Amino acid sequence: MAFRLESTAGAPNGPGTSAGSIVRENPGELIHKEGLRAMWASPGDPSPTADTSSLGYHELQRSTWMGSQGRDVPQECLVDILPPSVPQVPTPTLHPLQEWEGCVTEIRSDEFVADLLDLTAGDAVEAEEAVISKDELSPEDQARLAIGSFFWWVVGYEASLGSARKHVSLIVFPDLPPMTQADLDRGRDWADWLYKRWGLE
Amino acid sequence: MLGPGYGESAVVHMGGGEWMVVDSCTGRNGEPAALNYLDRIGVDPRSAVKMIVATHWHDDHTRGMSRMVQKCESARFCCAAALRDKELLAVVDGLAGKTGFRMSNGTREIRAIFSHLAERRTQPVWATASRRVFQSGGCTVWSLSPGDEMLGWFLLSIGSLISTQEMSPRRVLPPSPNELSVVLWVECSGAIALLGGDLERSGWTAIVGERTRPEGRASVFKVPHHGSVTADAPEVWRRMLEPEPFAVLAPWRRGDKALPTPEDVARILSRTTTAFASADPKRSAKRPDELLARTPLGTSVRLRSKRVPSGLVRLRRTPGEKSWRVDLFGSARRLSELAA
Repeated sequence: MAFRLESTAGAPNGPGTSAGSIVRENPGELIHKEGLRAMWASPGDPSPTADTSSLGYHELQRSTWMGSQGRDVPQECLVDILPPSVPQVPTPTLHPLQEWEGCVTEIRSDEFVADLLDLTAGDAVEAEEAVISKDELSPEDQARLAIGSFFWWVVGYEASLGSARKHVSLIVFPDLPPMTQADLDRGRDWADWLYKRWGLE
Repeated sequence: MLGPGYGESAVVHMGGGEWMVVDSCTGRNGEPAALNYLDRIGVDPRSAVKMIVATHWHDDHTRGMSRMVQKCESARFCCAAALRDKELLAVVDGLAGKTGFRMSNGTREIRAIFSHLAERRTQPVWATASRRVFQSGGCTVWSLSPGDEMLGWFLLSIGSLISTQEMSPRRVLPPSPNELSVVLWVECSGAIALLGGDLERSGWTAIVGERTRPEGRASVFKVPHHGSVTADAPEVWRRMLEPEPFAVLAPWRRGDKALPTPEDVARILSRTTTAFASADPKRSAKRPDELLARTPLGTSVRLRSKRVPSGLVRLRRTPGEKSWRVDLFGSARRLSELAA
């Protein structure tokens, strides 16, 4: 598994890193904890000591999603990082029983309301809604909570070698890059086309 | 009046085999409920539907609308003039093509409709205050809103949709579509219906005070915004409606909140006893929560199905008749039954 290091000096990125953030080269791949160890390691660090055992699926899911964005980074800023040789650690695996895509429709003092699209059932319309306590969200995700925000919600169980299954619920609000001039220009082209076809100009 | 299912929709026979559909919701088969209804009564929507109106772009009023516009080849499409703004169109399309951004169903439907109409080289009919948007035979349809003041305010607010900051993926939600809701005044063979969309109180105040609006009093009132007090304007009942009009509303539910509230029901019934709801929101099916019970969630999540059994309130009157005949189908109820 190969990764790129975004060299943004001084940016805090978490345990075991000196600078920059890691962008995954192969979007769509599952990230296991071995991969995460490499992601969190600094270049030149032969023996990463970062402890990823406390990373939950929340972080795993966020890393997966961020990685799939494939942000553009100048080539000179990229450093190949090889996965270090580390002892095999039993990898917990998430077994989803139910997945939804949610859209926040109302925010109250200690909870929020969301329309839910049942991804497991393959629904095309949002046929369910949920009232969810804000306690279910990390402080980071609480800051992302806004009317219209999208999130992914997975209910399932976590299994690891030699331990019992544990039921889990994960809610993730991903980040996105801002709207660009190119986005607006594309939209204006469409608006121009509408006006032309409608004889408004 | 059809709904709620996934929203509401009104189907109007304008006489001479010509029909108008106001807003759209979908039936169990995923098809627009209005088309299902027309099909059941033997009407071919491709030739018979002459006008389709989107009062505003909230999801509960637009589900399946683009499909309906494509199918109803003879129909003109009418929506608020605010949607003609070029910057709004640019923002909507700019975000539509952006990875991770999602448009609300309503915005997506409007975008699909506009693209379809552009392919057909047919411009929408833009609804503004006191504008005649349709006339055929003995039937005339006026739009009474949105007024100039609301349009100006809306155009100023479009800039807020553009963000240069990193953000969470979210739906494109232009501000307060209810304020821009299209209200229709439908006159057919001497009978008048006032279809209130979801217009809020400030918009009604502007309509009542508008000197150029058509004269007369309506005998049918589609109560705006699911009977909510925020859309209640007593002067509308006094100055635009006949005494004891036939009032119809479509209920709405979000989370543990529902409209109309018991207070809303009591207020409407104090003004007319002939009031009806197209469904009983209390009958919404609750999703089995066994799955959640097996997670650590406990009571921090409450899950509910949005599938409320749909119903139909039908008002019929032949030219010359003084009153309306009322038929209730499915989960439609007299409003007084919701109060019980």
